[in-house]
Amino acid sequence: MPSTIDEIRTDLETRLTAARNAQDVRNAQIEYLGKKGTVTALLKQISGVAEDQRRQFGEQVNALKQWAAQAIEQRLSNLSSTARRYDIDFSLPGQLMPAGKKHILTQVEEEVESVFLSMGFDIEEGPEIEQEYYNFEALNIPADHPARDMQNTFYLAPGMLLRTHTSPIQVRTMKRENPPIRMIATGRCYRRDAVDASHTPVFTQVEGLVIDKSITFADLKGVLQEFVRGVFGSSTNVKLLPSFFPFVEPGAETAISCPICGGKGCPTCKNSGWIEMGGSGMVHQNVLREVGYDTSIYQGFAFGWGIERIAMIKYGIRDIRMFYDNDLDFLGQF
Amino acid sequence: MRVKLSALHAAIDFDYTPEELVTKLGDVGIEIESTERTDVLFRDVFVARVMRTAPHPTHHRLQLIDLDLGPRGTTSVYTAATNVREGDIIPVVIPGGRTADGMDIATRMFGTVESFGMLCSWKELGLDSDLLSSEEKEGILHLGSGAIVGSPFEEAWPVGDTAFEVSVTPDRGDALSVLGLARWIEVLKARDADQPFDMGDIKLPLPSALPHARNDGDLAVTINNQSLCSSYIAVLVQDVASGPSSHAFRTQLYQLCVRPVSRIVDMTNLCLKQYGQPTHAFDYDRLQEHRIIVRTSLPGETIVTLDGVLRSLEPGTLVIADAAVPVAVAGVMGGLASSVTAATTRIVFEIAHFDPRAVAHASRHLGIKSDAAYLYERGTDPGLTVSAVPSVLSALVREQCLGSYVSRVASAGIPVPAKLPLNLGLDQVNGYLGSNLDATDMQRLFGYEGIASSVTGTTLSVTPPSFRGDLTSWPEYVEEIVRMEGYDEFPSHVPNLALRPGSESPLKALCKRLRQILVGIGLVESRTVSFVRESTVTAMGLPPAPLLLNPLTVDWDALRPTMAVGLAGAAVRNLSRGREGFASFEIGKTFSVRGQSFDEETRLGILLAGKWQDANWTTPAASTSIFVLKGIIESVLRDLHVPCNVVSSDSAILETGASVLVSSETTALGTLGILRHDVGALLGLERDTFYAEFSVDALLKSIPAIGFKEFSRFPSIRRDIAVLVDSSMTAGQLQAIITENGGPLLKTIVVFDSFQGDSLPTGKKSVGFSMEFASPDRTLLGDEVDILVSSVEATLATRVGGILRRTRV
Repeated sequence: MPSTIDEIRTDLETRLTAARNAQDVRNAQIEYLGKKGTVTALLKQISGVAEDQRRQFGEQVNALKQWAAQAIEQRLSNLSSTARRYDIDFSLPGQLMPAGKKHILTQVEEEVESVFLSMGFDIEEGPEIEQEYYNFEALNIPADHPARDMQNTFYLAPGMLLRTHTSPIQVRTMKRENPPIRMIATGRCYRRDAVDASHTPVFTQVEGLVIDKSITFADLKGVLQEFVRGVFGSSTNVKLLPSFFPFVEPGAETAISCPICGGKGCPTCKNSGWIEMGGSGMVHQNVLREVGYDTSIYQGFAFGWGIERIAMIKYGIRDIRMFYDNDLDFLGQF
Repeated sequence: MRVKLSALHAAIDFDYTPEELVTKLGDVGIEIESTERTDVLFRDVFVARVMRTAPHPTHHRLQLIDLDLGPRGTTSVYTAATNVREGDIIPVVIPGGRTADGMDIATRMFGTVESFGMLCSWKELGLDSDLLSSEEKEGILHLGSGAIVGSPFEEAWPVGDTAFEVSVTPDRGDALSVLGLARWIEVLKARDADQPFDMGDIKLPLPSALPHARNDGDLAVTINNQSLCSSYIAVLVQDVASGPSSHAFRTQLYQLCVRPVSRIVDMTNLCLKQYGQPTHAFDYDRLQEHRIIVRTSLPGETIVTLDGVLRSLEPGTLVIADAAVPVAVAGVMGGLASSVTAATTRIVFEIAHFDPRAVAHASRHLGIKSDAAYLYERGTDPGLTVSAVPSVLSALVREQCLGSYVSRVASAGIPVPAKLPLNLGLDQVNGYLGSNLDATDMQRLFGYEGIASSVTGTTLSVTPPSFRGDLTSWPEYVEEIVRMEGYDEFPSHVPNLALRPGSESPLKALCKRLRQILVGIGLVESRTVSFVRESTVTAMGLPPAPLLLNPLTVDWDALRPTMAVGLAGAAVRNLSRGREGFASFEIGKTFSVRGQSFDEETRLGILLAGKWQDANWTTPAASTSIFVLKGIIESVLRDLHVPCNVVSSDSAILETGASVLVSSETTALGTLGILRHDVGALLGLERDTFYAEFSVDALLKSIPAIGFKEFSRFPSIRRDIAVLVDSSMTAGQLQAIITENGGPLLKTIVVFDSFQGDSLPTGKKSVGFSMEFASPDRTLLGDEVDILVSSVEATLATRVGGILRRTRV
């Protein structure tokens, strides 16, 4: 309890300045000028003060009371005038701006590209109508090889096809440039697969290739690990499983720890904790020889993943067809 | 490939659970796509022999069947089945039992007589109907004479099993059989126990000695192309008895997931599934001169294959011929003329090793997909199976009582082509893997797979078993090291590469920038499939699009020559679901035909339809219009600093008079306008649609280099004028006059108004311009600007008409 008149005045001043609304001011009014208020209590004390000081004390207390009443009025008036000026209903929506959106596949593609650009990879491109040679023969998939059955192919003319993967870009890049090579390629690929929840005849791949003098299988794993962490988050791990792709040896299927359940097991990873993402491996000697590289000096790795698959896993999308339906309710979500 | 757990257990002892087996096989690269467990769902079903059949006294459809249940005595049941005869061996469920489909069986009265049980068809037993012959699926199931009367049915038939669907990559031909899978299970066992692979653990009969082979007048085999056929063995069987396979054989087929057909076919199928060795049966008496010649086909030769199709053979196709004509396409399909028929009494079985590429080529060229070709393409074992399977087949002939006599085995070629050892440097392996394995580690790992190895200094000499046709070069051996050590056991390492920025092409960068600009403007990006229907393209009046030789559907038989079709599809999809507007773009490849070749070009398509912006309480709805589209294009070009001009367009898909061609100083960039109404209708769009298509390649060429330009830091002065002119005058013409006469201080001109009609005289229109003047070095005075404006007004007056209004700002 402030004991002197000056202290009471200072305190009330602080209270009023801090008041956010009229209620705060009214609470202060009660505390100071109410029946049991601080100032009222002083007024009651006047009669008990020694006669020689009563007059002076009485004048001071009355002046304080007058000042307090005025200050409270003033503050109330200030507050109410402020409120009148800005009485806005913020539940009303703001003025609409046209809301553009990049396609989710573009978003994922650019994210993947930026991870690799940051690791010093060049982004290469190639034609979608491709020669059979670049799509198959140069990648160690000779005519009549059963591996051709792995990729149902659309043909435009004998020897001309729609690329079934982005791998021909590897061949074109290696034929054009000498090692060291550090590249990725993203792009549209085509396979003659019937349309269902996990197949569309048009899809998008990201392809990676690193060739130098001492690139190893361990490096493949290291780069994929960085890639996966960059795209799916730092706690995501990579696991390689044996598989076969004609243009790599050893060949591997790459799985990542399920980013949805964190590897504990959920419907997306079929309770295995791991999700298969795509192929990878050490570039086959036949491929290196075909582009004219000396296999006694150069070696390296390659990988190829589906952008749709990455997006599906990252966002929990169950049906690949949605990417090509272009439903605004779908596109607007990402 | 589908196979049951019991068939694997019959081939090798192992105690992995089905789940463990799936995981472990997956770890070495053999994927089990699915497993399907079937339980024994019936109870108290026994094998019975029919002693007597008699008609029911009153129900003419029913028969009384007296059954012998061996040690369990006899019983009798009534049945409506019509395929039950005396002596048949059949399953019966007795009272107290239950069928697989859940029916509890009790003694039942048929009229005045009792029936003690029920005869069973495959349905009551819960058998896999895919693995039964059509006879087995009709009425009561008949068991062969090998089934023990009185024994529980589950002992007589392999029910209660797990079926595996094995998915094998093209290099794993060695795993496409029970023997192959058993070998991989042996590898798993060897690895788990850290012991070498032991072929002795395989329980399948694998006799290594050929039966006595004699090449004489009865049956002579000649190989003309040793490089395409390393060995060929012919087994002659006489006095062939036809009919179905024995009970034991059929249950074996059931475990192998092979549907029975006939004794002969069943035997060839068993060899294929059990050993991964295709075999073929010829009718000996239909082979000219009883000769078999493995050769390549001659020009003009044809064959009618087993499927009844006459096929002309590409010269050089590997065939089996008799003394006169080809009788089979080697490894692909046999000929009809030499095939086994009901009249056949003597059979020649073929067991051979053909070159995978020769078979693959013939199979693809002739368009024949057969189980044999599938196996040959992936590589069969030139060693073990070719030498063992003839003996196995001979044994089967005896076991199945197919013929009374296996008379001849004629052979040609080298039974087991020698596999040469390959040298593998320790540094080579470790330098490839980034690992640190020593010779002992590698020998141990190779040992699990039965790959023989020896060490000299820092070099390993390795020799694969004959069934591992995939091991031909050193990286393949490296893969085996990884496979056995475990793919996940290898270290992960970030490569030591030079620090440098990654780069992307200017085209790619431009595509990204365009997307960014368009999204900023408020457009949504679509991605549509690159396929269109050719007839749509033709109806749109566009030049022919590249056609697919093998389209998936007629709706997608060509490659898009324009982005319009896909974007229209996306618009229709959204508008048909109640949306009132669609404003979208797509950047991607379009395709065209150029002579014998094809071109592709990166293009930007923009489609606007309906509302551009929904109404809300602050603003009314905004509709898309041709000027919204033009504004978007102008914004994009301004952002890219591409100066442009427009002339009327002759675009096939845009309305005449409502479309323009936009060009930079040197290059045509694209067109924009109202989509032709009939094209819109064709694509399913009902309302006015605004469409632009630009070449991103052309845009890229038109982007100038930019640098800093001095700008005015003094206040500008604005003057508005409005001109009344003939309607034929364009805003562009007027603007050109203003620019020309406004002097160097004229900074910008904006058209703020353009209208005709109402109060204006007929044939006239009013166009309003807002002009901004500024000087780079001083604050302008109003009077000097007025002089400039007056000059502009005067020129406009003399050249095109009178001034309506003048406003000072």
